[in-house]
Amino acid sequence: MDHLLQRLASGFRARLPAWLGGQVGPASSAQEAIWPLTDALLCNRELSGNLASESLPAGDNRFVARGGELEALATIVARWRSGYPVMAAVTGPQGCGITSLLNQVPAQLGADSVYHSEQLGMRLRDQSDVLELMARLFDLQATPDSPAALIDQLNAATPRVLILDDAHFLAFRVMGARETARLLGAIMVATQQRHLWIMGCRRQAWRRMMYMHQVDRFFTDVLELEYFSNTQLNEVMAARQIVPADTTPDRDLQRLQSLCRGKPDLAFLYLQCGILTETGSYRPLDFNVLKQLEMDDLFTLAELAVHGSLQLDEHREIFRLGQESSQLQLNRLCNWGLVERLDPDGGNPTTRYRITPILSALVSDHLYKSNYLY
Amino acid sequence: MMQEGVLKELIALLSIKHIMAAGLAILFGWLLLVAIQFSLDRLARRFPRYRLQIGQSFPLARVLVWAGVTAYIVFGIINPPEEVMFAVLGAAGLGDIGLHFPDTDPQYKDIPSLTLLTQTSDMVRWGTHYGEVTRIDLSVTWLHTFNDDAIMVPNAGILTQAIVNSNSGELAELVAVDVDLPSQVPVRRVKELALEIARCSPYTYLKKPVTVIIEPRFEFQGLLRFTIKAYVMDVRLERRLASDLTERLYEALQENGLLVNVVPATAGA
Repeated sequence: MDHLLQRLASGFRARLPAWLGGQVGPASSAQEAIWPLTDALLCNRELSGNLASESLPAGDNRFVARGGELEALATIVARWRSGYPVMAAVTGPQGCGITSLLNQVPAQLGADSVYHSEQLGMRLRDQSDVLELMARLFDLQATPDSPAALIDQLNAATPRVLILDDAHFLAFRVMGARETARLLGAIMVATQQRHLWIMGCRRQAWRRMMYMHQVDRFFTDVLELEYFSNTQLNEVMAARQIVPADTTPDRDLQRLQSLCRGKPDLAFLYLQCGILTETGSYRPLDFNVLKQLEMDDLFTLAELAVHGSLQLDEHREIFRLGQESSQLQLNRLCNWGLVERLDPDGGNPTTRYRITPILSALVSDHLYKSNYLY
Repeated sequence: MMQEGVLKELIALLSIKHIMAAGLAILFGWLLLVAIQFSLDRLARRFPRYRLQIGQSFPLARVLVWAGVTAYIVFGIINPPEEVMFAVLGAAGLGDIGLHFPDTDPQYKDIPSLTLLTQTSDMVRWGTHYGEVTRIDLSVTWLHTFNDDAIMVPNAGILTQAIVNSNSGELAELVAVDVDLPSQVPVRRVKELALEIARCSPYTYLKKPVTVIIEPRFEFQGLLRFTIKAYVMDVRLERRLASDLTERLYEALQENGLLVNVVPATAGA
């Protein structure tokens, strides 16, 4: 009781100047224990690569802590093989390992099985984009003229497993995008008797598609991944040789898990540079910048969380903004470190903006509490 | 009329010491309420999703604090004998709560007494005034309008006049936008566009349905009124959504070559 009262009193003393609107004095020891966001981002940039953020290929022995989900996928495949129409979706928050899990599916199929895996790297704008995607998935020589012709062709093709990852590209909030997503869904439903469709989709996008298209009614199986628990996180870190197995005391592990929400890439960052040297304890990340955001910034972050990433034109279209306003808003968020700019490269023809991956869980949490995500 | 003996006994009970102690208790109660309101405001700012529930707990806290303070003053400080207390209550002639809110009156029938107190953060229309209930005092209720006006409504008026409550304790609220178009427009196409633009607005709450209602009208010519009904994710964004829907619809009609003699109508919750 005394301890609680002391903590309350010290917390009250520390916050009183800020509540009264005055200048905050020199940093107290409690304030020093907060990890500045800029330091964390700098550290992340300096690291040669975040070992916990890469997706793992099929059969990789670093793929651990998802035994239940693998079994569920095996059951889905077996059910499809026995002749039931099956459509499955794997959903979860950004960075929880959807792609790694989907990469393991081919290992569960026999050598005689035909499969095709595709990561949607772009938004499907119209019918021709959908038909082209299907032609690619089924190795068709020529793209059919109409959805009906395509469905006939697909139902005559060899049965195969089709894995469609990054389906958050389908959750596009602009005029016309709804029809495109519905067309893709209609083709999947019409061919589910013959082919097994497995779709990987981030949670926010999946929820958006549930509200807009009722996708959950069409998918027979939905696997919902979560971030890792204490023990799973330890297993993941040990498998990726970030920490030796069973070396992190339970108390520290619990603290690490609660600070990073069980998100492996942030846990990795914490282990690399989030420990306060004097006390040896993990510091909470300074997220005061979120409190300074205006309504429009929060709406932008919410749409980025749902869409995964946005181009400048897409942002303009969603919010009906001018080029400069859109650019200013996105770049302001970049300057605060909340958003990352991906410059054009081989697989990405235009500049895209996305929520800084290591912060995605914390930002989504804030957006949910603030009622910008639902 | 109180008996003279009871009156003397009452005066004897009200010593300077008792009055000062009662004053201190009232001051403590008031400070406690200020602290509670301050904490709830901060909590509501930190967790906007639960703003309504947090805001609605203050009137209850206020009743509890003042009930506690009153009980402490009466039984802890003054501690009058039973006959004095009953004599004072009888002389005050306050009557039973049923006298003030009779259940024979249809407007009070089946109404839990706390609902009279716990409706802050709702968007209500009272007469010509429309705004968010920001505070409910014992005698007046404060509304905050979209024009940033604070309107003080007497509680007596609230209990005797019809009140339209737009969200009834929820953050999401239905917004209806009316647009009148000439009756020659392609109805199905315009309806599709209206549905699409409502779903594309970032302020629309997609968890609830979006609908478009069409009705014929006549104002110097035959018209069709398209009413877009969509939920806004937060009542405070109501006007923003209404304006966004109107702008988007006009743009979509223009892009599709359908904007001919559009008659602007009203938008409201």
